[in-house]
Amino acid sequence: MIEYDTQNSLVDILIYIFYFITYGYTVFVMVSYLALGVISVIMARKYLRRNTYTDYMNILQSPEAPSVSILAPAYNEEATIIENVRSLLSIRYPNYEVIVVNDGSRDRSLTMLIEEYHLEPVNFAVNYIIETAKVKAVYKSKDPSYNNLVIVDKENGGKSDALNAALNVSSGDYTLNIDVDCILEEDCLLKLMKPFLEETEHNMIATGGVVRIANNCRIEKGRLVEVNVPNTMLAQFQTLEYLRSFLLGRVAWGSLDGLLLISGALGVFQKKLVIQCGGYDNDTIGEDMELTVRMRRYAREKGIEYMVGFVPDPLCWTEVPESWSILRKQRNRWTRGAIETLLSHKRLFLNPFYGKIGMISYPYWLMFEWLAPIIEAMGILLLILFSLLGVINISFLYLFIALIYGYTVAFTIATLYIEEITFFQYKKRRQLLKLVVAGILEPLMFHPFVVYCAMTGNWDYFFEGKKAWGSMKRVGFKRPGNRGEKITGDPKKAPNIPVPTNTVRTRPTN
Amino acid sequence: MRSFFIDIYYFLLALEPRYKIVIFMIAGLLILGAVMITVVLRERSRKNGIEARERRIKRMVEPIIQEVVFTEQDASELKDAVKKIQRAIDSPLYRRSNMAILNELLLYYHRNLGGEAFIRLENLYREVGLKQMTLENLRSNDWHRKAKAINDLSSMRMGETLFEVLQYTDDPDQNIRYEAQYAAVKLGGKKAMKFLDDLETPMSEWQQIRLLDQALKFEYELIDSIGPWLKSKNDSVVIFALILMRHLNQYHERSELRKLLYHRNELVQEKAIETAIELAYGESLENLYEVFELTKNTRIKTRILRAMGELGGSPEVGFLRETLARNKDYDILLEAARSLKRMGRHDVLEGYQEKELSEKSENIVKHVLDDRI
Repeated sequence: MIEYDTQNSLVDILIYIFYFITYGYTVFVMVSYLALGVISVIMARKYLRRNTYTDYMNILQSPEAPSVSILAPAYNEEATIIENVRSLLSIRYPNYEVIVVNDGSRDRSLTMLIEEYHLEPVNFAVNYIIETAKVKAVYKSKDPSYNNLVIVDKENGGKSDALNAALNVSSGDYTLNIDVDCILEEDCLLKLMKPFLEETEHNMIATGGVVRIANNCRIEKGRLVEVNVPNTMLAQFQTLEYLRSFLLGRVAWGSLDGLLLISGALGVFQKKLVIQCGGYDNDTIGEDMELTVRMRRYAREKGIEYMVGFVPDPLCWTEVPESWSILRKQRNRWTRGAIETLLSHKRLFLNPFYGKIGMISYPYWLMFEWLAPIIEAMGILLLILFSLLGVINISFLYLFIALIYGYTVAFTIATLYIEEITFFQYKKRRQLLKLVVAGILEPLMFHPFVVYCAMTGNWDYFFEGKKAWGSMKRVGFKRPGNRGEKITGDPKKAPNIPVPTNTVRTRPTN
Repeated sequence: MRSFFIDIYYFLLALEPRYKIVIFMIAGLLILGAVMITVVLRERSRKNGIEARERRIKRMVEPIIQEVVFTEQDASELKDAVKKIQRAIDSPLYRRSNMAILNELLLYYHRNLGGEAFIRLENLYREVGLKQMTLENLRSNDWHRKAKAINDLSSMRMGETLFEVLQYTDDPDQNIRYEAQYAAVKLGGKKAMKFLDDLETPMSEWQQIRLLDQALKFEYELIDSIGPWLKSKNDSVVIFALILMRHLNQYHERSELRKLLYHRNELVQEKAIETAIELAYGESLENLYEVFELTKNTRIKTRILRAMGELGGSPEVGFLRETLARNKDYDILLEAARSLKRMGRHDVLEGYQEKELSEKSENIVKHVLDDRI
């Protein structure tokens, strides 16, 4: 071992700085997660207590229910579009329309819709309040039972563009923005609208809901009828990740009014404000986060006393990648999206004018969402280097890593406990044990991969200049051919659909 | 074995403090993890236990409830049934929990029944002591128990508890307050809505929807208090009064609408216009012209145009025609065209001369004339 005289040397100072950053940062992350977890539990329990006597029938029958437009962009969704649209049409809400935007699909999506729903083109005067790619036609059904269905056929422009086109056509006061391949709970709109209708002091500008994982769940007629834990370990890891993120992270941020992200898979927005903000940004890949941040910023700058709400109920079920390569691309994209949004709204950083989002949420995202993987990766590299050089105490380091590992596992088990006492979706003992095992393995197998993806995302953004969607191939997941068949998500059997550019999945970051 | 632990003890003792802290934290986390897994499994067993108990109680109690509810019974038979139910739920450890299960069961029946069965079920609720238990919960310090108790009392139509419930209609806790207001309307009808006279706290839209849902059961009875509510300083009360006027056809205070068209709160203005339309209050048209000029709110303007389509005559046709030709706002143009269509004036919509309309307006006219949309 090389001997160093580190007394008062530069190396000594550097090592102290290193210790301070590594250990201090880690402890801070652990404490902040714990604090968010505690807040989430309190809020989720409060929500559940209120729900024991909430009767959604009142609004379901009410002539005063505000109008909502469901905006569903679709690109090459022929395998599932009929069933998914049917599922959207059967949502329980008294006053809503469904707008499906066929964003220049290369498959038979539109033809299938036309055939199934007896569509015909109408003389719809599109209000181009937000600029979009050309709308080729607007279709309505000849069948009066589908009179709340509007299909927009437009040239391909990406997901944001499709959402903007849907906004231009919509007539509701609120918009529910979803991914067309998500499975929504029947009463999801009733629950998502409640915060808007309940708020009296502030202007509720958006609400989000909890997204859960549908892999291996049983779906019948566009409805989720049985919740299961995914079969593959990778999807199980993501199940835990989503649970932690939505159940602990977002519920807490929602109650603190510090949410920076309303998931693209499920979010209700006040349409007026979305339009005033200029709609979705076509030039970003993280359009959901970007819009949320922009709306908050706009509201603050205009002096609007606003709030962003969050509903802790599981309202939406989505499939997650079961292949490492698809996951890598997805996470890479999420990282680039987050960087883009954070950089384009850097004005918020520690700016007291923006209140909580400027002083807490933005710095938190910056430190723990964007920079965390970089700090973590750098820390590991330096640790290896220092240990090779023999300048740090290896045994203490091992202990510290063991502490982090123990904390992560304990936190995951705490999440499962909270799920158990609140929404209790995984009812079989075997499902629970599967998740516990996944929780034990996750920090060793899944987390390093996520850090790697985030690092490549940073690299691609800053050094490769990848700022668009790129050529992310959406391999898709095996969907039930017959109703009631389980989604198993075997990518080998999935159809190889070319060059989709407009599907974003929910990001489960805190 | 003993020497192994002694070795570990001395090993730990010899460590630097930071090592000790981290080792203890790791040990703590391991223990915590194990404890939490045990708690989760115990929680699951507890839930299973409750479910099993619930099933057992239902199995025992449901036939008795059905007998009480669906057959004519004299006092002694009812007493016997009550005793049987009490025996079924009696337990030294789980009495309260069993009562809660029975409570939910009766509430479920109540939601799905009507007529005579309804009344019998309410009597049973009183006799088995559930009303008493709910009143005890009402005196609890926990907001959620209180709110749930009020909700249960109203669901089971315990009219005699109305005065107790009325005490909470302006409670500082929003959850309790809203439940009490809802229960008051449900139990006391329109007279219990007196709490609106001096309500200081705002009512959310959700609450207004709930109250309206109950008020719709009044079946167009005259509500005298609407006048004072329309003059309330609490805007949410004014809005709710307008909603009531509209849905319960309360014509007697129509003249107030004209003043409310100029209200400082734009939401009140909007609701006043909607109410004027619903009550066919044509006299408000001259005020609507004025408000149209004064306001910058597009939403109010579109509501006014709709009112013109619903209430207006030839002068309004001219105004709408002009608006469609001159205005540039999509929503205003669309509403003007729709109003003309609503008035049956297809001739006006189709009779514009070439280049009289902008391309946007032309498209909107085509849109409105397309009956498939």
